[in-house]
Amino acid sequence: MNMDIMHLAKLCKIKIDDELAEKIKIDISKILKSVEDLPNPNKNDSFFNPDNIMTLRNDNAKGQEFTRDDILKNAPQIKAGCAVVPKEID
Amino acid sequence: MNLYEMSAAKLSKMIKSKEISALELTNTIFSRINSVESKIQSYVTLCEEDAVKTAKLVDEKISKGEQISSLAGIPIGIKDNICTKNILTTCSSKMLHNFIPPYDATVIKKLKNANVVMTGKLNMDEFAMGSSTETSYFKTTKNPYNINCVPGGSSGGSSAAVAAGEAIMSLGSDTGGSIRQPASYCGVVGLKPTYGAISRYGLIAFASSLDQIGPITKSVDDAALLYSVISGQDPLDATSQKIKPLNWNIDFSDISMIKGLKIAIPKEYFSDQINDDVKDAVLNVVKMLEKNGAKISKISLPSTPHALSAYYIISSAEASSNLARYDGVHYGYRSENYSTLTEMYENTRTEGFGTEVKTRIMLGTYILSSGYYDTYYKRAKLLQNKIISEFQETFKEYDVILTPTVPTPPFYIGAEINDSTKMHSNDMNTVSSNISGVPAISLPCCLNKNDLPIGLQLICNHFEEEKLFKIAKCCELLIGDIKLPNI
Repeated sequence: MNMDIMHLAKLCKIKIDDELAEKIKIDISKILKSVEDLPNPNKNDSFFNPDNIMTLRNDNAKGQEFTRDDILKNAPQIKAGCAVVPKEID
Repeated sequence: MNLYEMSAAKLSKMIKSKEISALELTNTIFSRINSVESKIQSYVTLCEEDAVKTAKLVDEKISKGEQISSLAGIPIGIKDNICTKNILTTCSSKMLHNFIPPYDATVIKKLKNANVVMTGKLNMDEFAMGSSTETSYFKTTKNPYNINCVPGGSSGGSSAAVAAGEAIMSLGSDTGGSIRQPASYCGVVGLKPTYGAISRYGLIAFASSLDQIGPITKSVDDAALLYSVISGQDPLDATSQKIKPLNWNIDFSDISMIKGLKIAIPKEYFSDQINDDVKDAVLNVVKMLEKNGAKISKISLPSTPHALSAYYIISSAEASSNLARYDGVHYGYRSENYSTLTEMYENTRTEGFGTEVKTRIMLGTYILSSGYYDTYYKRAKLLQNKIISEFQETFKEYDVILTPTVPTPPFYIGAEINDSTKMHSNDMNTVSSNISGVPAISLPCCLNKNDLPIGLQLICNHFEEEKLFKIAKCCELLIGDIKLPNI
């Protein structure tokens, strides 16, 4: 299977060494190979089930009882109510 | 019989009649935990202080003559991927080893309102990816029937704790069989409810279109009681549905309902990959049901052999998206070794995730990438529709589908961890219910010659939990008690 496993790892923001890359490549290839046996889709088939429509709620923060400070308690580094990350732009 | 071996239904009656106090029961459970936890290792976090407080509150309510819920004072353990306010919730991952949620999952709020006593947080496979708890960052839980065997997974801690008497009942989550497979391995009852029957708000997401929270208990009555407390529509989960509340009668014992019951036995669930002991045990129950008047029919669900492939594609695609949030910025683990933002992301994710999680993130990223989407993801989603329509056709004619839960009895620790094909095959009989969203329950049908539990699975149509519980209770009555583990 033609798969650039190191590029894939980079896309996932994960670093892997050669040994782990080989293991993961084997595991992924096994699963992908099993998909080859799946029936081929018909061009007109849609995977959206019209009988299964999700009712969406309004996009608001109603019902949340926690504050920004509560949430930031879990942040590894905070300053002035914001999560701190390394500087990217000078 | 010891208190920790009794069902929630029985203990609830004893608490209400003041035969025992909630505090006495809670203390019994923690003393049981003290004596067996070193062997079983089912807990990540214990909450004894809060548990004692809740138990005392229940006793106070009873002494004042106040009404209490059907599960008030009953000790429950919670899988460690369900958010509990101010209590560590790790997903058994280094990535969340220090995460303290500022809110309760909806199911936890409901349990608190019912004054259920929370004993602690239970071990699991990392981010619910696994079938043995061996991918947990912290430890491998042991099977109470044989501590050299796995308890199953990913809700292995939840199942082992109930079987070992370290909790009277527990909550698990099921994405591809993660409640039913460990329930089968530990000789307890486990329900994967209909998708949308129970709110997922506060359940740390793995594959959002498949994940469901469900009960793991000592009996069908207990599963029904717990389901009745935690189910129902929640405005905070758009996928939850308005359902008829279940008002379960624990005295239900009408096995005459078996007469005329149409039971489907799909041949694909009894394939060559199913161990002979498992097949014999399940077919023995089928014989009992037939003797009591059930109409048994062999059927075919032809897409079943492909379900596992579709499951790995859909679940990994969703996992790669869901787990993109773990970057060391807002919560959880952050690497100490970085100088740039990208390096911080990469080192955090590299050090914070285990191999199984990395594999699934990478698989999901690959199949969603340009050029591969149609080949993999779309094909899997189309197969999902096919599986749903096969179930719908079946339920037009039959009341219930009966199958083995898992292909084998519990396996030895270490036996499958390096063989992903074998490990994944544990879910071959359970994934279709997640893919189609229908409810399914596993209940113990016997112990094999090595005293290891074997489970059977019953599957009903969407939102037919009440019917499923009734049929399961009939099976339970026919099967009788199975021997408890000797730890």
